[in-house]
Amino acid sequence: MTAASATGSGAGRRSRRKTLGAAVGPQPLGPTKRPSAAASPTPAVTDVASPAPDASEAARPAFAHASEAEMARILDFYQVRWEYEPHTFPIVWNLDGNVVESFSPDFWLPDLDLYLEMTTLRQKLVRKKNRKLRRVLELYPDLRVKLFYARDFRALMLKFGKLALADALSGTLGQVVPDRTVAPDALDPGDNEP
Amino acid sequence: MTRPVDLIADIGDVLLTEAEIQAKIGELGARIGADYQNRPLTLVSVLKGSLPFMADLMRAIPVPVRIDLMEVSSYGGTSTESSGLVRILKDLSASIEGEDVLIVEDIIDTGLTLNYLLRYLRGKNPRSLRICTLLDKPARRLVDIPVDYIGFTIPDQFVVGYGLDYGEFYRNLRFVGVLRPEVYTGVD
Repeated sequence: MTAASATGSGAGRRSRRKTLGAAVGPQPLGPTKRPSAAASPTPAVTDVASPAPDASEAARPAFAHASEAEMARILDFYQVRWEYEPHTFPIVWNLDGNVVESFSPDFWLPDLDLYLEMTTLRQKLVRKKNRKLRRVLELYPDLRVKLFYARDFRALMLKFGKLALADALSGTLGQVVPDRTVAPDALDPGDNEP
Repeated sequence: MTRPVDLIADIGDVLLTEAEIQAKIGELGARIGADYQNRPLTLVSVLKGSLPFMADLMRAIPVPVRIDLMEVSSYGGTSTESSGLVRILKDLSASIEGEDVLIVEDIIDTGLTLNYLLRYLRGKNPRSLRICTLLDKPARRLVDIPVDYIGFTIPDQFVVGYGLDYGEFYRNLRFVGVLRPEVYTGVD
C-alpha cells in the first residue's frame, strides 16, 4: 500500500459531503480573504483521507464516484502515493470576505506535487469544472492540476484492457451517493461531480 | 477480445510507416552513439512491446552495447479484480551497478510504469540512467518524466503495431497504426 500517510492534526477519513459541509458551516476554510494573484497557494487543509499503509479496500475514503476509487487502485498498483481531497482552495469570496465557492481537487500526489481532478460526468458540469480550474490557476498559479476527463479515464481503462469497466464507471452510473450531512442546496455541485 | 483479429481491416490509419520508423531509428542510433562514445552501454528493454524497437535500435547504435530484458506486470493485466501491486515479472539478468544504462521503451503515455521502473533501477546504482522511447504520447501523461530520446510524438489515439498490442495481438505489424474503435468497443 502506498497511499500517502495522513497529514495535519486531527486528520481522519471523512466523506466529501462532510468536507463540503465544513466549507459552508461555521468552520473557516482557511484563507477568508481573496489572495493576490502572486500569493503562494496556501490551501486550507480540511480533510485528509489517506488510508493507512496497510489499509484494506474497506478502509478507503468514501469516494464520491467509482471512477475515483478505480483511480486510487491504479495509483496504489503503481506505488504512487496519494491523498484524497486533502486541500480546499477558495476561489470566490463575498463582500464580507467569506468564501462562497471553493475547489477541492480529488487527489493530491505529494511525490509528484500534482493534483488530479476527475471529471467524468455531464458536459455542463465539465464546463463548470473547467471554469473553476481556470479560476484556481489564476489565484494559485503555482498549482499543478490535471483535469482527468471522461475520455482520459476511458483511454486509461482501454490501455489496461478494462474498457467495459470504464463504461460501467463513467457518468451517473458510477456515481456513489454518500450520506448527506448538509443540505443539498448548500453544496456546490461542481465539486461533487467527478 | 471476441471478434477475430484482422491485421489489415482492423487498422484505421497507418500512423507511421515501416520506412519512417526505420529512418527514425537510424537517427536515434546515431545520436545515442555520439552521446556514448567509448562508453559501453547497457540497453534495458521492457517487455513485451519494445522488443521490435530494441532489436532494430541496438543494431543502429555504433558503440558496444549489452542488452537486458525486464518485464513488469500491468494493472488489470490478468484479472478483472484490480488489486495488488506492480511486480517485476522478469528482472535484469546482470548487475547494472556503475554502468551506463538506457531504458528502451516502445511508448510512454501515463508514465506510471516508467516511473516505477526508474525508481527500481536507480536503486541498483547505475552510473547513468537515461530513457529512449519510440513513441511519446504526452496527452496521456500523469507522471512527468524527462525523456532523453524520443522517436515520435504522437496524437492521443490508440495505436498498435511494431510491438504495440491490443489483447496481445497486432505486435507483428511492421508499421504503427490506429486501431479502429469498433475493434475495442465491439460496436460496428
